[in-house]
Order: sequence, then structure tokens, then C-alpha cells
Amino acid sequence: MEKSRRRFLKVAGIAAIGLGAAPAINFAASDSHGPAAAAKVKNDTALHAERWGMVIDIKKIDDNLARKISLACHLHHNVPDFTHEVDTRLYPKTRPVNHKQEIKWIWKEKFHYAFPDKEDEFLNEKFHHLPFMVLCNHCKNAPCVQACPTQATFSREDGIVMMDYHRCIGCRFCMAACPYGSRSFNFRDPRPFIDETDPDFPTRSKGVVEKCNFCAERLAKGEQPHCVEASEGAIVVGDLEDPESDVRKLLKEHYTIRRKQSLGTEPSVYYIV
Amino acid sequence: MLEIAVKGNRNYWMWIIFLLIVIGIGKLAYLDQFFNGLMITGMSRDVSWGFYIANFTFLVGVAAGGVMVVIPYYLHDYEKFHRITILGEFLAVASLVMCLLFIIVDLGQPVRMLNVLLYPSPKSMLFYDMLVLNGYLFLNIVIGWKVLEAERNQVEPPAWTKPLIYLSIPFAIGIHTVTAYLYCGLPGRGFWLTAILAPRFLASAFAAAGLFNYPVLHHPEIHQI
Repeated sequence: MEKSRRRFLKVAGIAAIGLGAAPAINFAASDSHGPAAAAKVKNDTALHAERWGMVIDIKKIDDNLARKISLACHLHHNVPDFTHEVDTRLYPKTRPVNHKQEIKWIWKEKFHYAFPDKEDEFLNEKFHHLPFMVLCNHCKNAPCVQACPTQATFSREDGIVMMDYHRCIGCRFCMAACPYGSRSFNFRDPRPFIDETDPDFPTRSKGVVEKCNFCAERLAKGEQPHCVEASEGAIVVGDLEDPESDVRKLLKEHYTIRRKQSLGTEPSVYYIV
Repeated sequence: MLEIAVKGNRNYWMWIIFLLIVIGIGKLAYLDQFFNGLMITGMSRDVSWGFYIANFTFLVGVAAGGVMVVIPYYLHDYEKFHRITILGEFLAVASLVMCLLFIIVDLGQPVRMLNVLLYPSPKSMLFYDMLVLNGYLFLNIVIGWKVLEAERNQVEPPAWTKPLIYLSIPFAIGIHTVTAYLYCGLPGRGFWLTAILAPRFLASAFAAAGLFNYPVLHHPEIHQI
């Protein structure tokens, strides 16, 4: 092969044509040509908010209601239940579970664990045993959003912190970043442990992190989140930026606390104590 | 240059075969994890990062410490360290390869590894981790190769390796600083949230690297250099 300037230019020219061919062919073959492209429009019945928030009235919740709320969320979102007996005909070689690798989106917590920065020797007796429902706080300055290296966890404009389970690489940096422990990792394939799959919501694969998504799919249809429906009025969601919304009215009437307020994450879940 | 690696006596090959068996066992364990998920590890919802990231942190420190033998010669012209800078560079390569492999085995979905490159997230520490780790690895492979080759042919290494070597020094500081920030950038982990974490990590890394270099440097054959 004799090296010469002419030969180099020949090869470079052919390479440039080759590299330029693919995008040109893609453009010619694609359906969207400028303004005639299909546009996505929001459902008319979708609920809209500038910033979604949630107020939980702790006094209205007891252990039974707490269980009902957790179940409503977990059943409808195909969250695996590791206490569930696996069907050995479908999944013959299932290994024993490690309950510490559980997955939970909303659950009840004792005051000391939900609010560790409010340690108090002389705390009101009833607070020691009240069930506090804890979930993802959908923070305004969410540390998990900042930590995610692929932006699989992202903050929507209306304040909901959403996840793209297909982009998640399972590095669990978001779990390390979350100060509230709201996130769970699929250490194993969750499907054998789902009793009855709800066909309206996707299941996840092993190796991705998941958490409460504020029932964005329900809000988009104009329905209330599952936990709100199951809570018999104890949990209310609404627009924190709208002074007339239910949540703002509750916040005006009652004193509320949020979890780990001093960290600056600005959580959107308020607790009436 | 790699032909030296395939020449050796019986003891050498016994050692290599033993190491390959250990690697094979590790590979089988990883296959189990690849197909069944990270449930085979001892990690849990509360302890979501375990030995994988702990070992990664240690090895990043060792890699950063390789610069301890590079700085005296290149920045301070201390001639005694001239011939051993190569050891620092190859130590960095070996530990960096292990670091990157530890990250890969820690991922829940390693097949989607390239998402970090496809969707760059400048606000995330792991993005910078990927940049500096791969950058430092590339730099040290190139530098180490060229310097070793030059030494073998008893000539000076090419002039363009000098700026690369000078670049690798801040990269070395960088890789462990970024690793420190992985911990201290987390508001949920108050124990780590301190500005002094990066210098602390670097100081312990440089101390640890000296420990790693010591047995190699005191080998009688090295003394001849």
C-alpha cells in the first residue's frame, strides 16, 4: 500500500460520505417532517399542579388503616411481597428470601425512626406508638435526582420525582443519597413474589431501584393516588402552590412537621401531629 | 513487550495457574450474580453498598498513591526515584482495572453501563468518577507503556510523554477526591458530610500506597536499578 496524499484524501472522502449517509437516510425514512409531526396532548381529565404535595393526618391513622394503605399501594403497583409463597410449578428453583432485601413504597414507621432529628426524652407518650406513614417525599431539592448518573431518576416540572426503570443501571447511588430511606432495590427478580399482577402497571426487572411515583399514572387520569383512596381521608394530596387547594388549607389550619427539615431537601410530604 | 509474561519456569506457571483458578472461581460467582441478581450478596435495603464499593474505595486510594513515586522525580527532580516511577504507573493501572471491575460487578444492570456516557449528568458525582477513572487509566497505560519500552531500548522516552505525566498527577489527586465526594456529597449521610473528607481520603491513600510499594521496592532485583 503506497502512502500518498491522494490516497489519503480518497479514503477520507469515502468515509465522510459513509458517515453522512446514515443520518440522511434516517431523515428521509422518518415520519416526522417538521410541524406535521404528531403532538402529545394531556388528557382532559388529568389533575394538574404547579407543585404536588401531600398532607398526612397522623391522628386519623391506626395500625389497621396503615396496613390497608400499604397494601393498596403495593398491590396496584406490583410491589413484590417476600412473605408470599412462591408457586413452585411456575418458578421451580426459587432460592430462599432475605427479608432485609424487601421492597416497600409506603409503610408505617415509629416516630423515632421517621423523625430521628426530633429526639426527645419527654416526648408525649402517645407518639411512641403512633403509626407514621412514610414514603418518598418528592423533595424539591431531591438529592437522589442530583446523584443519579444517568438521570433515570428525574424531577418532573410539577414536583413529582419520577423514575425511568429502563434507564436505571442499578448503581444504588440514589439509595445512598436519599436521607429518608424511601428507595428499594430489586435484589432479585420480583415476579415470583407478586401474588396477582395488576395489568395496568408494569412490573420491574431485577437490578433496578424503585420507589413511590406519587401515582402519576392515576393523577394523569384524574384519579386520586391509591394511598389517598385507601386512607379514608387521612392522606390528602394537592397543589402546594395553589393557595385555595386542600393541602394549603390544611397547612394553614394545622401545625405540620416534615422529615429532616434541616437538610434542605424541601420535602413535599407534611405530617399533622 | 508482553512476551516476558509468557516466559518462566515451573514455579512461575504454577503460580499463574493458581491465580487463573482463583479468577475462574470469581467468574463463576459473578455468573450466578449476573443471572440471579444481587440477592446473592449480603447487601440489603438498609446497607445498599457493601464490600464492592468498600474495595473500590480502597483500590482507588492505591491507584492515587502510585503518584507518590512519580511526584519526587517529575516535580522535584529527585533522581533516585527516576527508575521506579514506572512501578507507580503500573500499580495504578492494575488497581484501576480492579476499581472499574468492582463498579461493574456492583451494578444491578451492568448491560446498561453505557447509559452513563449516553446521558451525561454533570450534577452527579458518579459521572465525574467515570471520567477521571477512565482518564487516569488511559493516561497511565500510555505513559507506562512508552516509558517501559524506552527503558528497554535504553533511550529516553518520547517528549510527548512528559506533559501526559504532568497531567496524570492532578488526575491522581482527582480520582480519590471524586471518590471522597461520592460519600461526602450525600446529605443523608451526616457522618461523611465534611469538607475535610477529600484531604483525609488522599492522606490515607498516600500512606497506603507507600505500604504497597514497599515490598516491591525492596526486592533485590529492583535495587540494581
